[in-house]
Amino acid sequence: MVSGVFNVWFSANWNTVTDEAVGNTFVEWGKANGGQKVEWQSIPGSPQLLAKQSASLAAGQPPEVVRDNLVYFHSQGEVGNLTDLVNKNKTQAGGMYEIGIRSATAGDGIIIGAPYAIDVWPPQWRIDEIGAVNNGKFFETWDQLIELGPKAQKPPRTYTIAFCLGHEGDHMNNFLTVAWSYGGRLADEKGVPDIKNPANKAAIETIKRMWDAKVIPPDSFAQTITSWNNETYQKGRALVAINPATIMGWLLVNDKELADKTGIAQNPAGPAGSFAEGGALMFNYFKKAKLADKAPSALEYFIQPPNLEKISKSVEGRFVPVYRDHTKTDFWQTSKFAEMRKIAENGRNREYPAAPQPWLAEVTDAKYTISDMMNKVINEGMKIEDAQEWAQKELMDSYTKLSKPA
Amino acid sequence: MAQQQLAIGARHEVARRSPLQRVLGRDWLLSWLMVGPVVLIVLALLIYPFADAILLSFQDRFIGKAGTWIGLDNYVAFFNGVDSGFGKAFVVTFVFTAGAILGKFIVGMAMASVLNQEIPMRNIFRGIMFLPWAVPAVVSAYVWRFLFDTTGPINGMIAEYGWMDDYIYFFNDARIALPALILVTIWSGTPFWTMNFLAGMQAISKELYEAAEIDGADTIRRFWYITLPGLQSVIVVTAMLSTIWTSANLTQIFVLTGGGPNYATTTLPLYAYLTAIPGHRLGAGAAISMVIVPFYMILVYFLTRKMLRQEQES
Repeated sequence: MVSGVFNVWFSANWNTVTDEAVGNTFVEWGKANGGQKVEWQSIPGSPQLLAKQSASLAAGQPPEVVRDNLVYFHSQGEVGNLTDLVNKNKTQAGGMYEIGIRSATAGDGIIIGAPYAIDVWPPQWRIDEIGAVNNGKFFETWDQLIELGPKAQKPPRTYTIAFCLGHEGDHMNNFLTVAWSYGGRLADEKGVPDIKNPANKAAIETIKRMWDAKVIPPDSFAQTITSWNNETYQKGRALVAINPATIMGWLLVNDKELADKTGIAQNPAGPAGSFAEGGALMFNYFKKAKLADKAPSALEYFIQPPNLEKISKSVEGRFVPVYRDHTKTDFWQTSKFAEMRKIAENGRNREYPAAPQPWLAEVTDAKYTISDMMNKVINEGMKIEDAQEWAQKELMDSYTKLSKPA
Repeated sequence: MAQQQLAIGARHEVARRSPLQRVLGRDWLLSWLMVGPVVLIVLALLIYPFADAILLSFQDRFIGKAGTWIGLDNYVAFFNGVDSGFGKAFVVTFVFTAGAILGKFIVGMAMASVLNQEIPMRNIFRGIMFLPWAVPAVVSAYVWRFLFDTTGPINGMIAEYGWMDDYIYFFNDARIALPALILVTIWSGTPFWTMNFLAGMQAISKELYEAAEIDGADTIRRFWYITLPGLQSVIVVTAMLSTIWTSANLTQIFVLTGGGPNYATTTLPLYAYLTAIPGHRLGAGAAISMVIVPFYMILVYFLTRKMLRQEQES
C-alpha cells in the first residue's frame, strides 16, 4: 500500500455519472499503481473553485491533479509542463482535435493541460416552443431571436434566453458569443485586452436590445448560483441557454422528457457570422502537491484512448471526445449531437485570436468585469463607450498584473 | 520587635517582586502555571492572527505568493475612490445592520410582551419562538431562498392567480434585495432579542404594574414608564451584541444573494472575503477588515463596561 492520498479536483459536470466516470478513472490508476489511494472531488465551478484552489495553495496543501484555471496557475508557476506528455499521446486514435491542443497551449508555447474532452458551448433550445413560432427551426440571427422570442415565451413562467449577466463565469461566454458574431473580441492577437474594440459596442447594444425586449429573465443578474443558466433552462423557465452540454448531460440523466424536447444548434448569427466557444477539458498537477511526482503517470494513464472512450460514453453528449476516432459513430455523425462535433472542429477559445491568457480567470471569476460592464449599461444607464472604457481599464489592471509568467 | 522585623522583611519581599508577581499574588508561580496555557492560547489564536492581519493590510499580497510592503496604499485606495466598492459596502453594512437591529427590536419586544402574558399554551409558543434561532444559518437561508425563488410558493401563487405581470425577484432585484435580506435576518435573529426581553420582563416586580394600574395607568403608559426603563440595561447589551453579530453576518448573505445584484447587498465583511479570497488580494482584504475593527472595538468597550457595571451593581 502506498502512503498518502492522491487528490483530484475538477469542476462539476452537473451529473454524477460523468463525475464518477472521471474520478474513478484516477482511482483505477491508483489501484494499478501499488494501491495508491485516490480521492476525487467534483466542485461547483466559478467562483468557488478558483477560491478553493487558491486557498489550498496558500495553505501549502494543493491537490495533486487539478482541472480548472490552468492558464492562470501556469502564469503563477504552479502547474507542470505537459508538453512532452501531450505530444507523445496526441496522435493516438485518429489524433486529438486541433482545438484540444490549441486551447491547452499557453502564450509561451507550453502545453499546460492533458486534454481529455472538448467542451463546446452550443445553444440548447426548446424545439417545441421555439419551433412553434419559427417553423421548427432555431433562431438564425440575434435579430430574429429578439423579434420572435416574445411570441414564444410566456412570462413570467418562461423567457426566451437564459442569458447570463450576473456574477457567474458563464457570463463571459454568453457575452463573447454575441461579440464574436459582431466581429468583436476580448483580446487582440497578442493577448492584450481589447474590450473597447468598436465592434464590441454593437454586441453590447444587441444584448441591451434583448434586455429591453424582455427576452432575458429579470433575475439574470443573480450572483448566487454558479449554474444559473443551467438551472433556469432545466426548470423550464428559459427556452434557450448557451452553455456546455452540461445541460443536455443533466437532462439525459434526470429529465428525459425535456431532453427529447431539447435541440442543439449553432449560435444565432450577427453581421460577422456565427461562432461558438470550444476548448479542452484538461488536467494538470500542482507542482507543490505532496505526491506531485506521481501525477504525470496518472495523467498519462487518464488520457489513454480506451479510458477516455469509457468516460465519454458514460453520458454521451456531455462533451465531444478529444480523439477523432471516438466521434466516428452514428451518435456524433448523424444525431443532434453532431452540431457539437462541428463546434469541436472550428470553435474558439475565449481569448481568440490570442492563446489562452492568465488574466482571464481573474476577470471572469473574481472581478466579473464584463458582468459589471453590462450592469453599468443596462441598470445604471451608463453610455456604452464609457462602460467599455471602464472595463478596458479593469482588464488592463489584471493584464499588467498577471500577463508575465512567473 | 521580631514581628516588626518580619513585617519589614515581608514589605521588602513585596517590593522586590516584579509587577506581574504582585498581580498574581503570593502563589505567583502556581498562578503563572495556571494562567500560562490560557495566555498562550490567546496569543496563538487571537493576538498572532490579529497582528498578522494588521501586517498583511500593509502589503500587496497575492494569494499563494510572498507579499510586497506598500505602506498605506490599501487604505488610501478605499478613501480616494480607487476602490469604489468600499464606500458602497460601507453604506450597505450600515443600512443592513440598522434595519435589522430596528426590526429585531420591534418584533422581539412585541413577541416578548405577548409571551410574558398568561396566554394558553404559553410554553409551547415560547418553544416555537426559539426555532429560527436553533436552525443553522445555512439551512434557514436555503429555506428562505426556496420560499422567495421563482419556483417557490410566493411566486407560484403570483403566476397561478396572475396577481402581477412578473415574479418578485426578492434576492435578484437590486431594489428589494437588501430589504429581503434584512427580513430574513430579523426572522432568524429575533428569538435572541425575545429571550433577553422576556427574561428582563420577568425580573421586573409585578407590584410596580399593580400600583400603576391602581393609579389608572393604561397599558401603553405601563409599558412606557415601567417596562422600557426596567429593560434599559437588557436593551443596551442585546443591541450591542446583536449589532456585532449582524454586521459581521456572512453566511446568510453569501447563500441568499452573494452580495448582489450589482453589489446591493455586499457588506464590508463579505467585501473583505470577496476581495481577499476570490479576488486574490489578501492585503486589500485584510485592510477592509482592519477598517471595521475600530467600530467593533468601540462596541466591545461599551459592552464590557456596561456588563462590568451591572456586575458591580448586583
